[in-house]
Amino acid sequence: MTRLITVVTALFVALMMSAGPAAAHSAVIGSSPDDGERIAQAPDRVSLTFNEALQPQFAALTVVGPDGNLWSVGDPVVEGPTISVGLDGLGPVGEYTVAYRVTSADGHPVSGTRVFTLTEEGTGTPGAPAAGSGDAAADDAGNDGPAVWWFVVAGVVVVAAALWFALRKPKA
Amino acid sequence: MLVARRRWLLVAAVGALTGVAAGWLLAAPDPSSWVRALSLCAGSTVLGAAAVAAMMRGDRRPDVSPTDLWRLVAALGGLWLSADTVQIVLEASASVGEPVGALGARRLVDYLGGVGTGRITAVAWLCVAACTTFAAVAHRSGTDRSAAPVLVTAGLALIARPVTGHMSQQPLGSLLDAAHVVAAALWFGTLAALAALLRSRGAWARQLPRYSTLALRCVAVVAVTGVVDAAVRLGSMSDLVTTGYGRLVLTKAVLLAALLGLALWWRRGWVPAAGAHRVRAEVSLRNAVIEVCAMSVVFGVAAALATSA
Repeated sequence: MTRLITVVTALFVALMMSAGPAAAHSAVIGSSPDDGERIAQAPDRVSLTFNEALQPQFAALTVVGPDGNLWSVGDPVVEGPTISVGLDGLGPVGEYTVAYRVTSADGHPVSGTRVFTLTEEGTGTPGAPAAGSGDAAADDAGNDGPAVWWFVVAGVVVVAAALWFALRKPKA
Repeated sequence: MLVARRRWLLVAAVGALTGVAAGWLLAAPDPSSWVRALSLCAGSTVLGAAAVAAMMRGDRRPDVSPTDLWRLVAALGGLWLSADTVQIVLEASASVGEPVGALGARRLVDYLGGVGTGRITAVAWLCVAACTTFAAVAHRSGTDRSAAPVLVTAGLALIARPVTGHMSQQPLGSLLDAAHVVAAALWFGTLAALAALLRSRGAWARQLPRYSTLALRCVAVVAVTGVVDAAVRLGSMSDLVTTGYGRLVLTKAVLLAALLGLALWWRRGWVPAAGAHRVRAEVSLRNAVIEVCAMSVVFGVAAALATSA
């Protein structure tokens, strides 16, 4: 036992010294416009670059202006480690919030926000008012099929009933 | 003195939830960690019961009747399947970014079919379903069957999430994590299954020393792979305290050390005494329940660790 503990401790120390830093999940390593950048003109697209390739499913990227309206247009596009969304001009001067939500390679969702400031008023047309939360992703509700919750409840009841039937003690 | 009862094993569920609660105090796990802890305990006991069956195969007079064995596996399999179903929905809702109540069936299908982790969880779910069905059929037919299918399906279902989780991003990480999970599951599950199934002093005398040998190997694997995993994942010693992940790793290590102490004590006293028929079945049951409940806390912390960033 003592030998085991010694070996384990030695192993731990050795690995601590040799192992480089390991990033846990996808993390933003850069963006355009950069976080906190002040720009005078709206770019064509807003993009974020991560430290690893992203899973394209369920990725969300929105740009919400100081007026609380959505300024990003269309669905975000994932290309390798980069996610981007189009802009059709920007509007009022002030701080724009870029909210993202992606799935890491290990399956954990990662979300966060970055900001940039527009210094000269633009002529773009705003989208719909952004609903409360930052990650108001594709809001095509109603198209998702019936709520899963009911199937889960029904499934658990069926499993319980089937097992009760299968495992009940035979009437002797 | 209180007479130990088999149903006290259910306290292990409370132990697991306590472990998750500790995880929530130290870090920020996903909401699915609660269900994951219960799922882990049920799944490990299924694997452990299959291991008990495998260990007893070849005995002239098995200490556990096939009926009892398969009833336990099927009942726990049903629990595991239910917990796994809830867990899939919680994970899908986190991945898709919609609240659980509003998650549509179509989005769930997209998640299960399209996303890498979704596919793996779907496969794990099918393994659990297959394992439960096999056990229910075996129970109904009442004949002695090989436990190998249960060992395989339960093992696969248990390692499915870990091998695609945190450690999958490191070289050999998946392999180490799979060994870690299976060893921990056997350590916990086999004892839980023995406590649930053994009825007599003689049965404990035959099975406990066998379990003790298995447990020693499992502990060695758990400790070594756990330490390697932690060292690979954490950048520096200070991460052990400064990050939520590190604090959970540290908690797991401390609890593991405590469990080792308890196990060492049992190995000196209970195991040889029970092996020599000198311990009453109730006392063995009580000791096993204590050990299982203590281990379940670590399983709770493990579930919190696996679901925190």
